[in-house]
Amino acid sequence: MSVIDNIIGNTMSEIEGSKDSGISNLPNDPSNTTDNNSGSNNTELFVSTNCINNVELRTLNPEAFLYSELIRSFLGEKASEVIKCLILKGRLTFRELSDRLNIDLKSIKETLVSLVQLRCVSYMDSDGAGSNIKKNGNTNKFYYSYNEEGLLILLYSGDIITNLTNYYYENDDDNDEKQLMSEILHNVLSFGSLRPRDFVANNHNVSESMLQSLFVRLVEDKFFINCTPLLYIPKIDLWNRLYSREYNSIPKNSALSDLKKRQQSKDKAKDKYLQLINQPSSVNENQNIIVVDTKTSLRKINDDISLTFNLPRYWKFKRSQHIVQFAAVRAGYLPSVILETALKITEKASPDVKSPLLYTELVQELNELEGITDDLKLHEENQPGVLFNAIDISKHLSKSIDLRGSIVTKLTSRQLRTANNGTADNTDNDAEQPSKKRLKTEDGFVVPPLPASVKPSNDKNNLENENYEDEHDDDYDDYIDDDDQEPHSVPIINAHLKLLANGSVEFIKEAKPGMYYVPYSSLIPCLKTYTYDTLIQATLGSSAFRVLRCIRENRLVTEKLLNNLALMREKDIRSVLSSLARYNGVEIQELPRTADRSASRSVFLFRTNNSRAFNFMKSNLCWNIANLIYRLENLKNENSTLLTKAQREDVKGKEMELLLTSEINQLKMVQERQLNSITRIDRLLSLWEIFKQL
Amino acid sequence: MSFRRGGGGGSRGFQSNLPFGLSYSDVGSYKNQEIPTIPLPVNNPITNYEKDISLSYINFQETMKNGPFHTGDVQPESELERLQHDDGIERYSDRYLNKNKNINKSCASINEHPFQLELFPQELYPVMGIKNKNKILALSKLKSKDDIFFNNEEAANIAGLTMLEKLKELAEDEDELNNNNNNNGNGNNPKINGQDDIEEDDEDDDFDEDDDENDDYNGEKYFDNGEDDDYGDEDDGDEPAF
Repeated sequence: MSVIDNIIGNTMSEIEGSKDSGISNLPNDPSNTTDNNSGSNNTELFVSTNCINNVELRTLNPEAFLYSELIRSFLGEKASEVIKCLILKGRLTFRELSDRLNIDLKSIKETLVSLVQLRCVSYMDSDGAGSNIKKNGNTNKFYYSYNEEGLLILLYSGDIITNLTNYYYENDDDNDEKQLMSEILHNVLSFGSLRPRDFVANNHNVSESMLQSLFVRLVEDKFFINCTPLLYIPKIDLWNRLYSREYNSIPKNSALSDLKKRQQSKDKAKDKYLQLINQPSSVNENQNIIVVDTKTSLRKINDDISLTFNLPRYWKFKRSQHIVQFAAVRAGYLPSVILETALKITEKASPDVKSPLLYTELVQELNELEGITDDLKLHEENQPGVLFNAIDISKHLSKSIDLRGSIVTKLTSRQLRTANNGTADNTDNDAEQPSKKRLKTEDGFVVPPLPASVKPSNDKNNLENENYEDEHDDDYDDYIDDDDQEPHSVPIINAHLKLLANGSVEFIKEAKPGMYYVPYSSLIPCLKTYTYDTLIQATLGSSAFRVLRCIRENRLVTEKLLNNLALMREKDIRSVLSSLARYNGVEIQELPRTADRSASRSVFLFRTNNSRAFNFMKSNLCWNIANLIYRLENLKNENSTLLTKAQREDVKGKEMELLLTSEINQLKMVQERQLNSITRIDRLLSLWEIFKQL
Repeated sequence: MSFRRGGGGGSRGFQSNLPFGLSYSDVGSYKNQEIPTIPLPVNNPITNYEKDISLSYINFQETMKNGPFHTGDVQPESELERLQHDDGIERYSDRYLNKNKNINKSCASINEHPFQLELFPQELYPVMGIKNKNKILALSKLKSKDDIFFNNEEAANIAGLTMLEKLKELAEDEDELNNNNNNNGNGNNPKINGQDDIEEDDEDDDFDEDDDENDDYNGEKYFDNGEDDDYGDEDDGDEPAF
């Protein structure tokens, strides 16, 4: 970052002397390698293609690289430069942007309008008076900063449109409605915000009631929210403003200590902040968004309301997807289907993926952070709408799912017979094994096995079952009938829920008997750890995975201990440790033995730091996504002539007749690479969001 | 943690100043030995679901590039670049060019987009076209996803054929057509040579006319094998044929 700052500083100091309203000419810089050498002496004044060409600069801030390339591919170079400058500098006025980027004011304003409309940039006035005019009559300065939400909406646009369309229309039965839903999502995302009445007015072929019903569904599920000015204010600025107002409102001659004043201001500001942030949902509940049409008596969206996409709600959807896939791997397909149904029921009311309070400065204080996390844990269990039971699931479970025979509760009579005859299959009868073992008392007396004439297994099984029931309170097991014809039988669903609750990974927890909730606060860190381990195993190998897990379980280990735990040779372990350390999977603690800390006498200990490892993985994935977008745009630029030719109106549809064979082959290659690149971007995004968003 | 003596950072810790009893050669010497090679994961083929997502993304990107919020390049085009696409000369092919900003003519710039002014700071109002009262929201129709790419199946079948092979195929098609016509002629109409010739001539003339009207790329019209030559069939009688 300091390098980029230096470059900007140098270029600004050089052009200060010869500043024009347009772009000034600079002497050729040998380090500049412009792609379009138009023969003039104009050099690149901006921190744009020159620095992007340098791989090292791109890695300094992977997110800046990603977002700038993303915006370049969607909105053009000007928007990309503005976004990059805002990411690197924090917040700037439009004049400062114009000075730094050397773009005229009008272009900067137009660019800012586009970015603000798409919610890629948010703004805050300098005084926070809420109006454009200061008290002394001068106009307020507005500071612009980048808004990650808008950028992520663009990045996930394909994902959003496809997933939400499939969410509402799993089968292809209602093709017209499915197409309309896709169009609504496409247009709302492309315009940033949209009034339903404008959309209805432009679609004369479709009935208004159908369109309004689709909008109402999206609003009720909270994927669309009312577009208010609060969405354009940075959360941290909002918090700071509220806090300072509360603090300043306490009279100065108050008898409270400063610490108490601050605490009081924080509490009040927290309440107001959460009230403002959650306002969209409260407005929904007050039914200002959804109204009843007087003519048709059907529900529709209020004509004056502009709707925008609610990304935090989409993150809840993605979180549920990840949890379901995790459950499918760990617990099996049918339990994951049941969990998916449970998540669909409770998703809307579930706690936010990232609490709004985590965007404030409260996280800098440990007490506050612990308080926030404790509150989140309580909300997971106590918030209305997050609890579910087997009856709820049986109502919402898909009709194609058949749970009959998915749970084995007790030994069948056939299995019992085979066990008694001694021709049992060992893998079937776990209950048989204890009967083969001889019991020994403390005195050394060995309990002899029962004679064959007595049927021991029935009693033993009953005893074991009873013990098991006592331990696990399995009242429902008695009612699971293997001959039950009901495919969505409640006892079977309950058994699956218990499996999910009692497994090695707690996917659900029992709040009350029969009522469950999803413990996101403990489940999501588990998901991150497992995903990270899978990535390490896939990229660095099983040995690295084994070593990492040994270190994690034992917290701080020496190399000698690691050799014994991992059962690997010393020299193998060293190479594995070096690769893990290179990727920040393992940290090294030096333990000097002598006063001069000589390395030959030191012992090195190894441990893992999850947050550091995950951050590195996140940056790595971010850079790779950005690199894919960058290379894709380069590919399109290299083939721009051919693509322009292929997009001509007379050529479209008749490529086979009008293009040369070599051109057809080239076009096919470009399109295949485009499809492959975007698919890889999507696959990387699904990994990146685990570390970034969840 | 101090890494000053411990190797100058984590990444160099194993390369120099290793603990007693170890040396870099231990790590390096096993390069070619039993350390298992890690088979890197290979990208699986694209599933239909992923293809849908990719096509939605591409569609969306196209919409944004052609929409009113696209900001363009930082550097204004040089005179030479401007002349390359706008030199003032009208050409036949200009009407087929896909000019990005002119597709949605009703809303080509941000001046014409109906904004919600309360969501913007006042200092940006001058560029938002507040004075334009009649603003229409230009919605984009979602293209059918398969329209983005041309028919790859057809391309897969025909890709790689050279021009010569294509001409051969065309010639074979014509022969089949002629054979079919001859067979139909035998079955239904008694052949009179002159009439047949005239009919063939008419067909050939029609074919030639079609070529002239629509198909500028038909190389065949330049290669006349003499089938259409009627000079030999004309019975002048008086003059010897050369």
